[in-house]
Amino acid sequence: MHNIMPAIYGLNSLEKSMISIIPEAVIILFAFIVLFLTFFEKIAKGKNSYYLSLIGIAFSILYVVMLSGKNLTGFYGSVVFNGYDVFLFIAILLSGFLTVLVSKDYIENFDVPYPEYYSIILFGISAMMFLVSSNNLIMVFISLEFMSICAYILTGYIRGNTRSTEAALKYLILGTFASAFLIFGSVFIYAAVGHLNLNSIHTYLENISYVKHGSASILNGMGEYLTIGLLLFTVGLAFKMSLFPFHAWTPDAYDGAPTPITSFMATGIKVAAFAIFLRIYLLIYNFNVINFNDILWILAVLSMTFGNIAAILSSNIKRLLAYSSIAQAGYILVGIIGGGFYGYSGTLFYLFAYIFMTAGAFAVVIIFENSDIVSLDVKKYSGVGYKYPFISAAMAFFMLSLAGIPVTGGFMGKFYVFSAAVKSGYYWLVFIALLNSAFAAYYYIKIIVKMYMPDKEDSSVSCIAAEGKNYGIVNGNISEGIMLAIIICLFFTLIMGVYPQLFINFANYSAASLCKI
Amino acid sequence: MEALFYIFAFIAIFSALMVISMKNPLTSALYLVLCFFALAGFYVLLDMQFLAVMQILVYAGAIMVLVVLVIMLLNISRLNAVKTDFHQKIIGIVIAVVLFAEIVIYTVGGKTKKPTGIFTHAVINKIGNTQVIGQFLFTKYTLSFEIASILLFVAIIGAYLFAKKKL
Repeated sequence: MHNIMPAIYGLNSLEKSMISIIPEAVIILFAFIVLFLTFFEKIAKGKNSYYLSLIGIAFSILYVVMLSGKNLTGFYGSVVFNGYDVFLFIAILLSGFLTVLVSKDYIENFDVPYPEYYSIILFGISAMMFLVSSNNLIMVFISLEFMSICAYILTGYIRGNTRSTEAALKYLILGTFASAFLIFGSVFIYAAVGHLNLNSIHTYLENISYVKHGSASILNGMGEYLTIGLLLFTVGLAFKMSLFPFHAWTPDAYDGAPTPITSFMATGIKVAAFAIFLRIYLLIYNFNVINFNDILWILAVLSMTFGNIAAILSSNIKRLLAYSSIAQAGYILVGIIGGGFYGYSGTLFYLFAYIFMTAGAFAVVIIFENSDIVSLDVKKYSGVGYKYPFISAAMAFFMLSLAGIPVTGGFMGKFYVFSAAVKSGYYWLVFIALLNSAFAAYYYIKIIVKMYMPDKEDSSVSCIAAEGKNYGIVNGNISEGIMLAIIICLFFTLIMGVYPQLFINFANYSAASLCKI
Repeated sequence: MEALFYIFAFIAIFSALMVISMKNPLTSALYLVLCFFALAGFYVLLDMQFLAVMQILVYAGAIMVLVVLVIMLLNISRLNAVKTDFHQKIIGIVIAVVLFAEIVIYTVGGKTKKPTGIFTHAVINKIGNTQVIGQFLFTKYTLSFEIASILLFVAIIGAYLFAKKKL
């Protein structure tokens, strides 16, 4: 036999590789266990799948904590596990945990199978974790596609609901298109540099730019390939991050999807896409083949402005939050443009804060949607502040955090990100971003005003839960799952606003292990 | 070799044009098969025999059977009077121009580059394409391979969930 492979796939190497993907493997294992519950009709009906998925996520968090501090590479450099991954794994797992918590009551309103639902959520979480830890263009593509397929299925999960199916179809077609851009981009990058591993590409480019001493016109004739590859790659990822020109799917998909899944898409998928973008940005884009910061500058400004204007004009709360998430993506991008150690750690901090405020806002929307008290129309929120003081207060707090008012995590995140951009000299960008966040405060605070100061003619809205339809609120009590989710979100949003140093240290540690390479 | 390239190129472009200009969907589908065969010819010219076989098996075989089956099930015999908007045409022209410009930029700007690494043409011809791909799939890219299998599994579950009437 002609054995070309220099390294034999030894047992030792396999063991080492397995350790680096243990958190993902645990999630996949639990996803299969949950899926197997469908074989037993009695078990599948109850709450077992819900509890099992929570346990699975908890186990995975435990493994991440146990492995934290280690610096592992596995499967011939396909995946890495270091401080960067620890931070983002915990963020993604918490986002998944919150999604599962708020799902139970919502999904019981519909005649759909439960175990498959939870198992696909778990598969989606594992895909996001693979995406974050992937260090190889093939891995990036496959795990991105894995994540997207889980999202398509979950978006259209409510069968017979035309809006849900329409959203899934739109998301599928546009998402496939974006994936095609991404893989086309990776092909061009590979053609230019001849490596698939991100670290190898980094080393290759570093050597060339060291020899040539210049940033422009490097890569004797291969610069065009690399530029076009990176541009196409950006398009593919910007779609997942729902930045402005590639946002078209966002409002429809967020609106049509089941609300827990909307929350999942707005938090988990966005965080995973930003995480891998940050990694690739640091390793490849930074070589200034062309000035990518200018392109990102335009994307950020357009996303912020468009998201805020569209959010002001929309009256459906899910659409409003969808547009606001486009604007938030613009703010997060400011941190990446700002760059430097400070900018990257600020981006991570903001991503972490963003998860909790968005998931919390969606949890409150789910409560109101479950109990049929108010529909998704923002106008119907008038006067709920007095009927349901706690959840309304929580909603008000999340809205303030999204608007970036002090004492909340959102404010600290914005402060961190914008100051990083100022440090790098992007004054105009920060000016536009500040103008935008002042503008955005209008529609966030409009909801609070609606909740606490009802209009005269709207106050007659029946705030009594319809008979036999009190899914979310039973005898005035909100079911414990959603309550727990809201309390977790409140806790983190408050702590990140009052005592941010803890999380800043964590983000710094994470960014440090990213920058070390 | 060069003559073969031009023959395949002619067949590919001709059949691709016929795919979009035929009124009968079945004829279009059959021209698409021809186009796939011509592409497989390119792969053989590039010393990628495995990819050529896969192209014929998967695209010209399995996927085209699906397409023809769907055409049969929907019972479309002839597309009459396809509506074309004005702005559709404009978008089409813009995309065509951009793609053509891309091709020109690559062919003018890019330089020919010999394959790097240990797998030169001589080595590949000696041990065969399939073995190299197999070795890579089960060593360097095992994880991608495994994740792809889980991905397909999840996609099957999704298709089942969407298609089944009563669960």
